[in-house]
Amino acid sequence: MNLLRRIAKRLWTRIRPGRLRWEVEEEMSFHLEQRTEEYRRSGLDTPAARRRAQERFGSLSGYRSRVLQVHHVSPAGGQGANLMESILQDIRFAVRTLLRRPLFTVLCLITLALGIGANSAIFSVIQAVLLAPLPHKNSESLAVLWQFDRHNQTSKEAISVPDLFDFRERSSSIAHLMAFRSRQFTLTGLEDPERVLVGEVTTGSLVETGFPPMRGREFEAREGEPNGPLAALLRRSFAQRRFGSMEDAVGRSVTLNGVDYQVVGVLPEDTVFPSDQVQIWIPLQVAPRSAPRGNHSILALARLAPGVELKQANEEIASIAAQLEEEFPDDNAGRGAFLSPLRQEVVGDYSLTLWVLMAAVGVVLLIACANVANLMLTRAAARGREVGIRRALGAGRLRLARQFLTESLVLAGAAALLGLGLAWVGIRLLLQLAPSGIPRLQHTTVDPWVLGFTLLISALTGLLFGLAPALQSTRRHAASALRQGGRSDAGSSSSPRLRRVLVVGEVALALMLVTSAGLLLRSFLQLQDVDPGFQAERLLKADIQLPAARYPQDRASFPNWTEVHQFYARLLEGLERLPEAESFAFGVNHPMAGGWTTRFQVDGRPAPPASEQTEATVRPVSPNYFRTAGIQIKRGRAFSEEDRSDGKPVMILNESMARRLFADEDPLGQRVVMWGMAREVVGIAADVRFNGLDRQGRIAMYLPLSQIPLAGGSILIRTSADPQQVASALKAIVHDIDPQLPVFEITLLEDLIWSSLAQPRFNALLLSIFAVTALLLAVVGIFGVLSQSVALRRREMGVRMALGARPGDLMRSVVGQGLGLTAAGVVLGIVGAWLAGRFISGMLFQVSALDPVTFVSVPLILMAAALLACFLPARRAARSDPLETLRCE
Amino acid sequence: MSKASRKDLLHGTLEMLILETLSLRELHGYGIAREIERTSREELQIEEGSLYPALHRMERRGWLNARWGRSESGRRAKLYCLTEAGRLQLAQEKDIWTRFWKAVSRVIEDESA
Repeated sequence: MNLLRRIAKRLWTRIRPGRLRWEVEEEMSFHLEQRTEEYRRSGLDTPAARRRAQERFGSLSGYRSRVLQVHHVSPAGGQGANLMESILQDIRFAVRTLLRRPLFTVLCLITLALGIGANSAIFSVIQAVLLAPLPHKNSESLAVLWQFDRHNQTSKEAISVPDLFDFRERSSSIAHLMAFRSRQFTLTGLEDPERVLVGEVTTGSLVETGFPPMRGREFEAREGEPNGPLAALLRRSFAQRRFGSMEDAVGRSVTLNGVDYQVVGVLPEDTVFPSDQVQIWIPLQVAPRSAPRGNHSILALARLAPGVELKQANEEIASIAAQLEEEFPDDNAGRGAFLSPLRQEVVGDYSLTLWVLMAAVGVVLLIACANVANLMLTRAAARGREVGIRRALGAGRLRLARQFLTESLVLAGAAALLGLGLAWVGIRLLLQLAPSGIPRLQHTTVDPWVLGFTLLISALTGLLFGLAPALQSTRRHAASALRQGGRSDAGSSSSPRLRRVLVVGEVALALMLVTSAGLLLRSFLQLQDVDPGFQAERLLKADIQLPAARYPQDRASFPNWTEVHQFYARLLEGLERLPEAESFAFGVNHPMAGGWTTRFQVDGRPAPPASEQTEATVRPVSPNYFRTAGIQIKRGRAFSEEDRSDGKPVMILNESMARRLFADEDPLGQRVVMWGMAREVVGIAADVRFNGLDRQGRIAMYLPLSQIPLAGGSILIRTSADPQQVASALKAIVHDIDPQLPVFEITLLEDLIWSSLAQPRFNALLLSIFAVTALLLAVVGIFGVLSQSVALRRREMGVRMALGARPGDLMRSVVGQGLGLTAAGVVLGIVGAWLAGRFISGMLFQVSALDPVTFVSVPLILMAAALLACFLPARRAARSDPLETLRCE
Repeated sequence: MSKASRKDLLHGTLEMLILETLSLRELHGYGIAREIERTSREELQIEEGSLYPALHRMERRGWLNARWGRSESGRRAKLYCLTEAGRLQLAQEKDIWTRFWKAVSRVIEDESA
């Protein structure tokens, strides 16, 4: 038994010589420490005790090699195959060392884990939203074909059908040009009518984008022709919900806007063309030649031919657009076209936000690193003696540096594990907080990429905060460390300097982050204060759409739309009996809907050349609309019941349009031509921000609903009652008139405004959280350095006190040091904040990237925080006791 | 005692001293040094570093078992104890030493008588 053990042990030393080397060192340093301690107790001072102990022991390195010779192990450090072995041993040693100082370790761990966790969480969002490949087949060669209008200064417009076919025929760099649009349809045939999002797509495009049907078949070519058979494909979950199973769905039919479509197949759940919200697909039936060229109503997705670069394709597209401009000047003058990569279209708006957040958490991590490096430097100074003994035992500088780095990496590794846990929690929190509409956000998880990223930043973090202490501690000479012995506060002079540099960096980074957060916060507050141009409070909105199948809407027969008129008359009756409605109105668009635009011309003036024509939004409204929505009539009058379909054609302009058209003249009484009819301007209405608070509304023409052939739009109700209650009352009224007509998107306009602010609110909130974290970390950093410095200068301060310095002088000196460091950081940080401001300027609203309020108040806040951090160390300095400090020596 | 003679003495007897010290209890290297010092009433002052090659040699021969434990102050320390083989060895060495010592004393007594 004994023999076996001995053999095993010998084998063990053979395999792992590094461990033996390390054990021998440990054994001998224990001996030396004990002996030194004994001499010290007998009254020798530390250096003398150490010297005596060493004399008595004899040559450390000599005996060490003799022990190793016993085991036939060379005294040199581990190399080659033994490297792994000695690394393992370093790790074990590091773990033990860290466990010996639980407070220090926990402090470092929390700091790092927070930093790493936040980074991993934000990165996982970036991975899911920006980096993960799109689910489309060969998504890199897909691009959206946009048109734009130089005269109206639109940058992205849908395409017109004839233009689409011309691009398809003339382009050689585009292999497939698919067209699509998605619209809400009313689905009937169920107990309750529903609004569903329907994707109209050209035949073959589902297979081309990589989403072939899982049951049944794709659309056939004849189904894409005008008046072709009406076919539909269903999303898997929709098919199951509607028909029980996918098999049962194929061959049945669905009723959309009162028309039956035969179900020819089922698409997989993960189909994202044209969007992941679409429930039903039908073929886009378009006639290439008869459709108006000026009607831009469909979107186009291009598959580039193999080997064609986007740039190349765009040159060709631009030249085709130029040809079309010449050939069809009436419709295409000033109209260009370009391809934009699908990826950019899917995630474009969010990429700046997400990268800004990533940069912000990166800064937080850097500050965390600086703090931990500071803690490690303090530790390293205290560990001078340990380092000295190990060097006396023959450990090389490299060996020691490696030991220190291992410790940092072990710490970073543990922090990474904790951080991943935090990231997991953080992702859930982010998903809760994030504004809706960020594409693919729900796919955010801790996937292998996120794991890899976490590993990488942890390793970098470990190196970053470990390098300084490692270099620092090994630089001092072994002998000097021994001579200085146990005095833990005898750090060499370079350590505090490095620590000060770290703190200045921290303050600078924190200032950058707090300034950026401040800019976003101010920008958000500005946005919130914007006057939308109408009163959103207590204003309820509900949409209806009268289907042409049951409410004939033939333009030629307007205004004799009997069914439509009857519906509105009965709705009016019902609403008048609704006690909760203080006032109500109809509008084709509610005040927060952009609506569509059209051309116009001032009667009596020569038509402007096509290249200078601009468009205005058309907003047909009922007489009560302005009063109900709270839109001020600045001049003239609102519409009245007198403005009937057979009455004088009238219109109301918004202020912008009145200013644009009639700068010096009186707009009232002027006539404006649109849709081939001249209308008299009877009033001027205040501007409304139709497209969101951050954008000026376009020029707009309000028309009386009665004089415009349109059926459907928004019902507006001003009410003080519970909106839910009013909504169900409204539903009941509509249901009474037409049980097959859905009332949809019922919401308060103030809620609509609130959710339109979700994105800037999210940005400001998240960045503020990171900024506060950074600020706290920086304050802790300043506090740490000052405390350390006070500890180091205790003797000096004691002497100064003994020589008659007053506590106030000492306090001033400490506070001065702290504020000096902060000021240096602030100056650097202002430069950084200036750069950061340029980076985020795209996210700002009515706030300059160099906003003076922010750039003055943030440094002040930082200085105040720094003053707070100075307080405790300064008080400790002021209480320096001359006697006690001298006794310490 | 000159340095050279001290070394000679140790060369032959250090191992036996260690075995003897460990025959009563488990000890770390420093403890062994102190114990030898104490029992010899400070007569035998060894160069302490030389203990370690001896300890490792004896452990390798199977006379000693070693394990990592805690010192009185709670610090990690390598603790040695005697194995059966070690006990046998101690008995043999003691026997040889005693016989040698008796022989030598007899010679000395003879001379002095």
